[in-house]
Amino acid sequence: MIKKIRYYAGLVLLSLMLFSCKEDFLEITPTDQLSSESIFADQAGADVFLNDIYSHLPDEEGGGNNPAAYYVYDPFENYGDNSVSGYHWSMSWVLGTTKSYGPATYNPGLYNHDYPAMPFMYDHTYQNIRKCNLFIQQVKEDSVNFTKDWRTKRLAEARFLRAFYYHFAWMAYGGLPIVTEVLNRQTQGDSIFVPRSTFEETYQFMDNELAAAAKDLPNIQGGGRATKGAALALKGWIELFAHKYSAAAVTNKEIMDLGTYSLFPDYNAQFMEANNNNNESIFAYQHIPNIRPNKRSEYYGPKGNYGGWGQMQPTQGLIDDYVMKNGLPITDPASGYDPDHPYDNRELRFEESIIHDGSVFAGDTFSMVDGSSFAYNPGAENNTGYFRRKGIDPNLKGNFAQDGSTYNFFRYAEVLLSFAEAKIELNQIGQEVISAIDKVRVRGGLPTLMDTYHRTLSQDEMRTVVRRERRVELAFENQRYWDLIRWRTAMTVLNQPAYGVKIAQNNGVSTYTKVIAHTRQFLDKNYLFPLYQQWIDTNPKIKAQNGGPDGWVNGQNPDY
Amino acid sequence: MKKYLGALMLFGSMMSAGYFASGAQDVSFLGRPKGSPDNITRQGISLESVLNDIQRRMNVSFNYNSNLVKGKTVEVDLDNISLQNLYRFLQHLLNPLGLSAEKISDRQYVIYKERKETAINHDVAAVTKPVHQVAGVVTAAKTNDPLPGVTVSLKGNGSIGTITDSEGKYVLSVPGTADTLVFSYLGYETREVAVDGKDLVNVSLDANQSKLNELVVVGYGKQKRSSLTAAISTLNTDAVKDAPTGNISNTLNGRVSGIIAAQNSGKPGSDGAEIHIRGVSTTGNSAPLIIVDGIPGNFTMLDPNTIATFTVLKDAAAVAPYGMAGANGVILVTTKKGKIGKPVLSYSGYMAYQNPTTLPKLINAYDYVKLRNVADVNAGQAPTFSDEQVEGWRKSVAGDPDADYDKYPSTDILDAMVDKNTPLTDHNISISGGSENTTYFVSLGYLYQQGLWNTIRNKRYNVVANIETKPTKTTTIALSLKGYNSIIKQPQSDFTLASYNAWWPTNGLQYSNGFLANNNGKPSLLPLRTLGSRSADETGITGQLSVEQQLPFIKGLSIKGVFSYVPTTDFTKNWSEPYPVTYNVNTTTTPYTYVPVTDAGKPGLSQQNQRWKDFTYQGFVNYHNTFGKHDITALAVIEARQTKYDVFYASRSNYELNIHELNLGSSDPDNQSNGGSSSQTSQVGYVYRVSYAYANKYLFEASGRYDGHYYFAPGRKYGFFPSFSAGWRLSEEPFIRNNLVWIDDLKIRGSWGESGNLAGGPFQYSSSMAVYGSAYSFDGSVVQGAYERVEANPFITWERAMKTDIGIDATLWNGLLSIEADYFAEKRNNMLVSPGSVVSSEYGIGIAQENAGIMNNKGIDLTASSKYTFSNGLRLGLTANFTYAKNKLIKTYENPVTLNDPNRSRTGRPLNSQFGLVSLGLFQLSDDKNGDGRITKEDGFPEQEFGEVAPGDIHYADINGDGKVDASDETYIGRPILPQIIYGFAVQASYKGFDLNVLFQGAAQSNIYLGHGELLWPFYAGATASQIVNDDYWTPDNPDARYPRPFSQGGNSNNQQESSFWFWNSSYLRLKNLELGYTLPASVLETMRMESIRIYVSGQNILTWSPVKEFIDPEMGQQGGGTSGSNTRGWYYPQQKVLAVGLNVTF
Repeated sequence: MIKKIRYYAGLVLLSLMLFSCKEDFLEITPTDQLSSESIFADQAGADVFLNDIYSHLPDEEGGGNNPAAYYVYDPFENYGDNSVSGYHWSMSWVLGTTKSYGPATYNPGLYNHDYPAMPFMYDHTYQNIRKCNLFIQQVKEDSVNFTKDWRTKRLAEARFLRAFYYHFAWMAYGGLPIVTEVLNRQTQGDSIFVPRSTFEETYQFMDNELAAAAKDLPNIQGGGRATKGAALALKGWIELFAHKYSAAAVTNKEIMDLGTYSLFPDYNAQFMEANNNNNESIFAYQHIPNIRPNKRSEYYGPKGNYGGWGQMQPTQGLIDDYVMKNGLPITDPASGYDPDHPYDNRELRFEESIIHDGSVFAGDTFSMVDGSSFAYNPGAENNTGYFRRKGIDPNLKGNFAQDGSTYNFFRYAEVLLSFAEAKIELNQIGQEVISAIDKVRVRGGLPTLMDTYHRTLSQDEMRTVVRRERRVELAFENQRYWDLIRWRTAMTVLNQPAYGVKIAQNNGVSTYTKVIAHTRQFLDKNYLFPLYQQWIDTNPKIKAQNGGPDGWVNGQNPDY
Repeated sequence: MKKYLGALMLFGSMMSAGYFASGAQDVSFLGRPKGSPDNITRQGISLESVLNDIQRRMNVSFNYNSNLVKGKTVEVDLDNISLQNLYRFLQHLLNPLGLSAEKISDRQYVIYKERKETAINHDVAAVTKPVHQVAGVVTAAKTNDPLPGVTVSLKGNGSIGTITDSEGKYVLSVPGTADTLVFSYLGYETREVAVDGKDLVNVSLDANQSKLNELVVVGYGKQKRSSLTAAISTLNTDAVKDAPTGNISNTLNGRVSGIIAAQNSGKPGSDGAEIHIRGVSTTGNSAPLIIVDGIPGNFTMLDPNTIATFTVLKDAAAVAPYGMAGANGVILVTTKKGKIGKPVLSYSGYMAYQNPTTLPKLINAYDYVKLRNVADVNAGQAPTFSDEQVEGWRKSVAGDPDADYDKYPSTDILDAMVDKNTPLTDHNISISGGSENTTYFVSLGYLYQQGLWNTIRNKRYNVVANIETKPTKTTTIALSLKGYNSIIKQPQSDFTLASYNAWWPTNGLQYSNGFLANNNGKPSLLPLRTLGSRSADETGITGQLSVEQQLPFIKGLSIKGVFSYVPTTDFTKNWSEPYPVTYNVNTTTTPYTYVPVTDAGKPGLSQQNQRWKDFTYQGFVNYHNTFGKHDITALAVIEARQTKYDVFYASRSNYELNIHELNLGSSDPDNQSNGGSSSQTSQVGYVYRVSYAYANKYLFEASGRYDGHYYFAPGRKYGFFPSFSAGWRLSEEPFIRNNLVWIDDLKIRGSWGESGNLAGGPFQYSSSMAVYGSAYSFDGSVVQGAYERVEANPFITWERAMKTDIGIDATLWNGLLSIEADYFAEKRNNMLVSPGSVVSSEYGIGIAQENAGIMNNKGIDLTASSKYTFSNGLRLGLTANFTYAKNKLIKTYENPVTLNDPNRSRTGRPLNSQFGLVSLGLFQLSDDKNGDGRITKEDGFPEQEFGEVAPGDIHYADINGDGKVDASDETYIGRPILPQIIYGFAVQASYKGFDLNVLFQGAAQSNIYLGHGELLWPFYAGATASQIVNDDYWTPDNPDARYPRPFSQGGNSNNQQESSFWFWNSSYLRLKNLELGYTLPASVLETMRMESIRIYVSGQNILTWSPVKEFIDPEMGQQGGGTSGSNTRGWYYPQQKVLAVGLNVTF
């Protein structure tokens, strides 16, 4: 017995020794990682890498489940004058009031609860630019692993994506450090620090890249992938933003001539999941139901039974820019606008975009009369007396996670309006221009310009028409702020209060009073956002930049 | 009789105080041969060896002062002695030497020097006083075993005394009935008992805590306390086992020196404290390693009733055997084992009621609308509420008869939602016992704790079975099974103060008709208490088999093999339900109409199964032997550990029925998802410890570990962590032993060594791509994605800690005072820090962490305790603990902008020091010199660049004097939130069956930032406001206000800058624990046939004194650190004040 036990004890020890002396005991292979070499060993692996770059596109309608982490319940649209946030503590509301931010306190590159969904988060932008650079570099280096067709197409996609990431930051900050290779601090030393290029240089870089990408990309709808149309649409847009009107006119015309795109017959239905990637959509963020759903209906849909958060509350200013059914603005004495029945006889897009007093949506009739649930009542976070309807899917009620609709970065209606605007600025207002605007108007249920005004309009009148058309057509698509910036009208528009409507009812007669929803401020320096001080401090080349064509002081935008 | 008395008095006078200790020690070693060759002389056999021989042969004991017999020789024949003639024999032997013997009992004799004249004198004295004879039995308090050899003497007259016999009995004649007897015995507390006219005085003595021969659990073994050279503190587990708290970690602060702990949450099941041993020494993970019965464990799984020992390893010498896991200190816990004897069945349990220590004070609806309008005007906006609305809410709050509660609801949300007096209960039953060969301890425990909603609850079951058997004389086999099952349940929403802060008092919960209110998209919170369910069901079973074998061919050598297998499973199930119907009120109609709001959602379920399998293999070689005065101990251990983990989850949505079964969910693939992953870990360590002691006086020890871990690159996986320590027991030196007799024990010790801390994560050495599913979709088809993780660092390694410790242990005045004090200094190298500032944002990828950080940590820890038993039976024990630790960041990657500014430099200051602007108070109307309503440069103040500034806003100092106040004016304004000082003062008293245990515990040297949030910024992030602010905010009429003028929307960021304005000293003192018990007297127990019954009341967190007490529980601030932690916003689960009634029964 004793011997046996000793024997067993010895055995236990011996087996322990053997076990722990095994050399590979500490060698563990992780199961959720791959080496860099194996990713670029074939097309499938490289595609997986590129997919990740697509997935980080600044999705303005995604939720926190996206690695890009855009918390879009305070959408960028609320930075303009089309809508306000419900929450009075949200950053779009607070910053709109006080503009109390500077380079030291303002860091949209770092998301936190306090910041709205900025499409130009700096750190995020450069992370993805690095990915694009790495993809381009690896595919070129390991070219034998890929077919020529694949390489041509995917390299063009990567160049497009890189320009896409750049352009948001360029609009927000002006000139940027242009990085086109994979930075490596071990081999490149101090040259990993890149100085800022000017606004113009950055524009030129993106424009050249997009021209090159457009050449190699296929002229198809694409279903989410970059296409020739996508590259041209971005190119046309940055040209417009940089006031390169002739270039913008040419580029947008090129898209119109591609023959791939047309206006979707139903203005509002084009945003629903069933019509994803229709022929009007040029480039769009693709959502995945349940996993990466579109949050549009949930966050911006109306409160109440529908269960939305009501976080994009339309302003009276936007409401007033919807014209009458006859195509005339409500300020036109001939329009037939009745201030006592302000919602009667308004254009189709008004009904399709706005939930107002008396609207029926998802089976509920909304009353905005004072004292009813969703009437103007700042104390209850109902700031304007309106909710958004456009793009909100009434069928999603209770199933918001299943929203797989896309978020358009570019759609054909914008191309038509951009083309028209560029031509108008060039004062080359021909039939082509008028018909571009008319296509958008007619699809929106309006008569043509000629049928409306029965005359040709002057350049100034045409400018007013196309800007109004753009505001209304693209309302809630996070475009308005950039338009105000490039038109240089923000100083006027954003220094006016945002209004809502208070509806009093007496003996069945309603009276409509314009009430201030939010007073705000826009200073000259706000045409650009400040570079966060830490980005400057960590890049000695930016810090050293003074003067120059953009007037930087220590690399910072003027006035900050 | 007279002679007897006289002899004893003589004995007593000789055994003066100084000899009591050593004499008593000799007594305790009676029966052991002392055979020292010095005592043999040429003339004959030494008296001492003769006496020893007799003691051994006849199993009797002699008590004498060794000086009496030293050098004396005799010639005797021992063959004919018997117990019957022993007394005569002794007289015969001793009288010629001037000595005499006195028979105490058949087997116990006292030898003393005959001095007749003294005895005679005393006879006279004795005659003049009445003589009273007292007898009794002295027993050990815990075991009730009789204590032989206890010195019993008369207080105030050391010459009268005796010694207890082998059955613990004594008989003593004392001069008066009012006298007091002193009972003293080494290893036990000295006790005074008044005779009080009684003939029978039975006494039980408590074992002395600091008894030197006590075995202390250390890394991979046990050591005698007297031979320790490392800094180790132990917890008196008896003092805390009845504390009404769900987690033993909440009882450590102030009870164990060296521990700095903070309880961050009062949530059932996650209310354990975060523990730091000797503060924080690293920027990385600073949690100590917790070892339960030899393998890593945690406190959540432990039933305090089953803990036998609790040891904290603090210095390098103590932690070295844990290699790269030891640098943050180690806590060793062992569970109880059986004792030889008849089965003992015990029950222990309590029933407690909990209430939050602190809840936010929120304003009422009327104050809310008024304050909101003030805030709107301050923000330049129109008032949100019309006069009519303000009046409406005034009526509601005032309870006016014509108040319209449906239009103007008024809610006290905390009152409506938070339960009071929530139960906490704990029960434990154990059986233990054993025979010569086999002992067992079996225990079953149950804990139930309710949260602030009765739907939040934690249940825990604990089972322990420890069985030890000796199949042969040299073999020990131990089997240990420990299991726990913890079930935490709650509704789909958790109790969160955040949602109450966000709830406006103007929102209604229910209308007058009973309908649930919907406040324009903010539905009533009432359903949250019951809606849906989440449960986490964790089961862990530790199975341990250990076989120990003495190897007879080398004396003192043994080997041991231990195999542990710990499977743990965690099953979580989350069931979410749509919100019940709530109603919007339409006040435009008469009567009002209530418009239902229906949540169109359907129930959904998600389930997750997690599984861990931990394997630990340990092989021990132990050696211990003594060669004369040389004592050698050696230990070698090989340890290998391996963990395998996998997780599987699945979810279904759109349930038609309200039954939460996975199979009943929608079968539409759109409504289903599932997934899973797996991982594993491994590590190997080679441990050694060698100790050498000379004459039990000079102690040396070397220990360490060669440790390998899978985290690191091939070729860089192994590290070596050595330590060296030494001790000097001054009390063993003759110059102290002979001169400073009040010193019982005195040791100085020192240690130095290196230990490691595993930091970062696995595979940081390799450059790789993380792959994930569902990255994007093209034309509706979902595709995978991959991205570079971070730039790899192939050189990445563990943190290294260099630890030095100097300590002193002393026991003075026969155990009246014990002190353990340590000074420690640590330098932590190789801390993983992110070199963020070496590249710019355009670099586009995270830089791998580097082992570049350096940090210092220094401090002291101290325990002083005293125990005494008074003559009236009052036993008193006092213990004071003090821990001070202050760290300093020596090197890290810091942004040059702050690094080069002495005001802002984080380097060179304690970790998590707090920075901000310096507040100069609030601007007043008089500061607006040009009267434009704003404070600007024109008024002569530096421009504050955080928005418009007006009277009532915070005035900041322009620290750098550049004429403007911006982020560059920040400076050091506060200490870290984690206190640098923790102290405790415990009193234990017992008297006539009553016992009292009180702990006052405090913390000092800490600051808390109570800004950034709803707690003190009205309307921040859509929240309501605090009553504290509403009571004292700035207006022109209240210029001396404590708080600035309020802003709606939290908009003016001037007042929301991190600044000294929002800093508080968060030191505190609390009556942490109080326990009052009563043990039923033996007479009552006998009739009930019980061994013992004790009933008690106890409380936890009973009283708190702190400057921040009105806002927050002062222990709460820790989580998240810095200034933006959610706790400092007031988002926490409050700590509980607990009052309990309990019972301990032994059958």
